[in-house]
This record gives sequence, C-alpha cells and structure tokens, in this order.
Amino acid sequence: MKEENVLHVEICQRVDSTWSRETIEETVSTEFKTWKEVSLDIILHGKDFLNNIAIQNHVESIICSSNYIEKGKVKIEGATIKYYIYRLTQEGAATETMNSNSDELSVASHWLLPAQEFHYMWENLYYDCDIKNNLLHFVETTMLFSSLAVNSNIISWNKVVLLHGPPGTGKTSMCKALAQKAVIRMIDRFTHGKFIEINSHSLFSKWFSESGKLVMKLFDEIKSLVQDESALVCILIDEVESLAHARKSCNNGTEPSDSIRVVNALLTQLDQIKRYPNVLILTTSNMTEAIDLAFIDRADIKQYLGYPSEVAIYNIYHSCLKELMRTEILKREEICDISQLKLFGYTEDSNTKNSLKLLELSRVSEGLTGRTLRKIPFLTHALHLSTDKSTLSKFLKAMHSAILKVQQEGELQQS
Amino acid sequence: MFSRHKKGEMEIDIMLDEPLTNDSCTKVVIELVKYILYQKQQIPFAYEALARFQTSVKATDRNAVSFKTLSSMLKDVSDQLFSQFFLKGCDVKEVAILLGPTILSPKLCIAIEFPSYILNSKQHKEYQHSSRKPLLKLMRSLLECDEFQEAMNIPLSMTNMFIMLKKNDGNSASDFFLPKPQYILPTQQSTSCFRIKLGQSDQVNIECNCESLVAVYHDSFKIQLEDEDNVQYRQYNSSNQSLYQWYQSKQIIKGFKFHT
Repeated sequence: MKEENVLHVEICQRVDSTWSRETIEETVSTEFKTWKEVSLDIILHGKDFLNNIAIQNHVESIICSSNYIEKGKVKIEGATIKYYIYRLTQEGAATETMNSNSDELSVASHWLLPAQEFHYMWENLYYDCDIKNNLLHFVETTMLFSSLAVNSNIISWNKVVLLHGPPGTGKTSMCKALAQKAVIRMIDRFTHGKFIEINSHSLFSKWFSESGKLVMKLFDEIKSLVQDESALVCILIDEVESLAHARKSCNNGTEPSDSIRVVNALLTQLDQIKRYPNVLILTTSNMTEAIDLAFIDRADIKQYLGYPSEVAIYNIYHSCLKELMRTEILKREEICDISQLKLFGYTEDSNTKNSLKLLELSRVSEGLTGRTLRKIPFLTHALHLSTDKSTLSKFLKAMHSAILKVQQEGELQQS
Repeated sequence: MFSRHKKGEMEIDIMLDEPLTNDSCTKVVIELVKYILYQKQQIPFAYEALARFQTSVKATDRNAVSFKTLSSMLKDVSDQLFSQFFLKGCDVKEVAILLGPTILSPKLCIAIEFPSYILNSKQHKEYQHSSRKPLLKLMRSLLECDEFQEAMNIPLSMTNMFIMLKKNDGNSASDFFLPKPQYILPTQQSTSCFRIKLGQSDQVNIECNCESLVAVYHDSFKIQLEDEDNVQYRQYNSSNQSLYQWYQSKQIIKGFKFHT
C-alpha cells in the first residue's frame, strides 16, 4: 500500500464554535495555502495563529501527520491533504450500571469520544518502529472490511486487539489513545465514538453459576449501545486474564468451575458481537501465560509493548522538559529533538550541550518503564531542587541522581 | 438499566389556557427538573424542603453545602436558558432533560416542545401572565399520565442530568450551550422517552394590556430597553427544520445523597 503520501490534518474545533465543518475546513485550507511547509506531529494551537482571527476563534488545535514520515517537515504544495474536523466532549467517565437480582452493579465506565481527557494522549506515547501506526492501520482495515461487508466466512477477522507487556509500558493508555485516534480518523463514517471500559471484577457474582450470566447480561447491554450505527464502539477489557483465565489450569481444582463459565460466556459473546460492523475490542494483559488459548487465538493483533529504547526515552524526557518549561518551573532554554541531534551529527557545541547530556541520561535510564520515566522529572524536583525556577543544566544533573535512586530501588525490589 | 418499555416515545399534549412568556418557559423547565430530581431519587427530599432545611442548619453542614452547589447549578442553567431567549439570531424550540450516564445512553429522556409563539417577558409582566398556571396544568397532566408516573417510579442510582436545547442559532459561538451537531435524541429500548408538547388553544387571547400598564414605581421591570424590537412575541419558523440542532448545557446537574 505504498501509494501517494497523504497528509492527515486533524483539526480540533472549539467546543463553543457553531460553524459547520465545511466552513472550518475552508478556513484552514486557505490558511495552509499561504504556507510553504508544515511540521509533522507538532500541536499547532489555534490561539497562536495571530494573523487569522477566524482560526483563533474557532479552532482549538491542529495536528498534521503522515503515515510514513515521522517528525520533520512536509511541503504543502502537491501534497494530498485530508482534513478531519472534530469537537471534544467535555465530560469525563460516566458509570454504566446494570441490575442483577435487585443489586445495582456498576459494570463499566463510559466515555464519549473524542474526549477531552484523552486529548494529546496519542502524541505523547512514544514507541519504536511503527507500532502506533500499525495499530491504527489495523483499526482502519477492520472498519473498511466491515463497511464493505467482506464475507467473514471467507476472510476472517475478529476485531480483537491484545496488547501485552510488563506493567507501566502504556498498554491502557495506548488503548484509550488508539480509540480516540480511530474515531477522529473515521469521523466521516462515524459521527462519534463510545469508549467502554469493563470492570471485569464486578462481573463475578457471589452466587455460584451467576457469573457467566452476568457476562451475558453485560454483552446484552453493549449490544444495545452498538445498535447505534453512527457510533464506533470501543470496548476495553483491562487485565483480560481476570475474565479469560486459562481454563486448563482449572483442572487441578484450585479454580471454581464458575470461572470456567465466565471464560466460555466471554468467548461465545465475543463471537457474536464481532458481527456488528462498528465494534472494536481492545484488551490488555501483563500475564499472557494466564490467558486462555482460545481467547489469544481470537485476537487479530497481539502486540508486545516493551521497555522503551534510548530514542523513545529521549523523546519522553524531551516532552517532559518541554512541559516543565511551559509551566515555567524550568527556565526556557533551547533543547533539540532527536532528529535535530542526528542532523548535527551528535557533535557537541554550546547549542547541543544540554541535549547530549539528556541523551546520555536516556542511555542510563534504559530498562525503566514509561510510567517510571514520566515520574522522574517530578521526583527530581521533589528530592533535589528547592528553588522555584532552575536552569536546565542544573535540572539535568539533579535528574541523573534521581534516575540512579529509582534504579537502586528497582534493584532492591527484585532482590 | 433493564426498564424495558414499549419502544418509541410517548407524547403528552398539553393545551395551555394562558400564553407562555420567556420567563414562564424557563420556570416550567426548572420546576420540572426539580420534580424529576426528587422523583428519580437524585436528591433526598423535595427541592423546596431542602431549601428550607438548609436555612436551619450550620452553613458547614455537608448536606447544606451539597444543596448550595445544586441550587447554584440550577440557577446557572436557568439564567443561561433565559438569556437564550433574548439572544439575537437565536431561536429556541425545544428543551430536553436527560437522566443517565451520558447523553447517548440516558435512562430517561423528556423533551419539552415550546408553543410556536412565546411572549416577550420584557414587555409582558409576571402579574399579568403568571407562570403558576401553566405549571399547574403541566403538573396535573403529568400526574394523570400513568406511563409517566410509572417511569418516575423506577428507582435509579446516582447519575448525571443533562439539559439539552434545540435551537437555531446564527451566532458564531455558543459558550454555555455547546453545539452537538448530528445529535438526535436516543430511541434505545432501555430509554423511556417522553415528549411534552406545550400548545395553546386557538381562542387564547394574546392581546393584553401589558403595554399600557402603569409601571409600578421601583419595579424591576422598569428597565424597558429602548432599542428592543417592538415585538410582543417571537415565533419560530417551521419551514427550516434543518437549521435547528441540539446544544448541550455545559453544566451537568448532579444530585446528592443525604449524609447523616
């Protein structure tokens, strides 16, 4: 599919703007025509368009991206541009409840996508190779096949994604970001999205043999949400091993047979719900060996998310420092991103001094998870800095000791 | 969640004897909100009882604090709704009250359709066009409607209440009622839907002597805006249905439980 490179322009419309999508698209495209090139994967805030009042008043942010090039700039002239215009919903998660024997169980959290809460999540996830784009392509292909009604008896796809890997590597965040991104990219086909996070622990009943029925009931509820064909429904089953526990291990009698029924109910319900064209099931786990084989077999994509590499760590630190500068905890100083560093050939001068130091820190931090990495700037400030505002070089030095401390703790935990 | 009802929505036609003013429209909506909040067990006591209760306890009482938040939420919605009637280029046709986790999966949905003309309450006075009469009529009709009462009796745990507004707005921004293009009121099986149609009987006399009334000295209505268009009522155009779309109130109303 190496066709022409498409420039995806995602325009987030301000929530109070009453303009139609067409007007917004026209405004932005006329603005773009006056530009020569545009930077990819950088958030352009609407309020920064100082000479275009219409964009200031109606556009929250613009993000441009391309399938094959990451970072850098793209010439606008001659590029095929696709516009996606969306608005964010302001509300957070709402709890869906279900009645069971006069008890009311809160079985799922429900978000309407694109949600404010998940905004910029995708942009702030850094992985190696093309994991993010591959997942997005998978979702797009799924929806393409479904909408063209490809015969599922001939070509089979289950609409199940399984993300696995050690804790803190961003599996759940990835699911949320992926759902948000997919809704934005397919805004022409679906007017909005629903994101449903199932509370799997609430599905186990105190009554023997009830648990399987609860799973059935839950999927009944989901089916009623799926009826609305203008919505893309993403279902997240976090820590899926609690629902799809390997049935084999039940043989030794430590697991009650009730949990086998849960797995059976889940598997049959998954087979039923995949018939709907607008469903996507996202699952995460960090104990793949505990998941039932029949479930793993149903997952189309089994993506391993591991520890970030040096480059990814650099990107994560870079975004953290940028955020600290934005909130003015850190003095504003120039800091290169990884592609700029490569361009300079990693030579040290006054400009790249701090960036190279950061690269060194990234090398030291290898083996830490994404969650820990994002914690480090906070720990640095809490443990080693007392002033409100510090310089970058001082901060980097403090960061080094914070990293060492975290690593020591990790070693202690393991031993 | 499993209150399976007959599919489709139930219509409740109400013929009012009195014309509505902007003021009474807003009051009717807010009173209905209060009624639903209590009936669906989102607040522990009737709204008026709570209002009395909070004057009798310390200001730091947890229930009093919760009530104050609720009443300021309602006031906010009511003020904003009222101001929508006076916005130039904006035409309000319907208000919907949704009760449920999200606007797409509500458990209860009540749409209120306003009559085709509404008197301008800057020119028509409250003491000539009382809001009590239409409200009384509405409440009586709702009490007489068995299906509505049945829906009210189904208990519901704590959830969100959304106020939606269907209007035709020519302005480029709407900052309290946020535009939701393509939104339609849900028709799922698990939702009980009601549509309250407020209408006026033909013989209603909209000619009144509000114009010629002598303004009471120091009356708050004295601020008659000079540049106000000299319209006694506003009427929406039924020919351009497609221009009307839904707007969602930024303020989500949440009830509270009684803390002992």
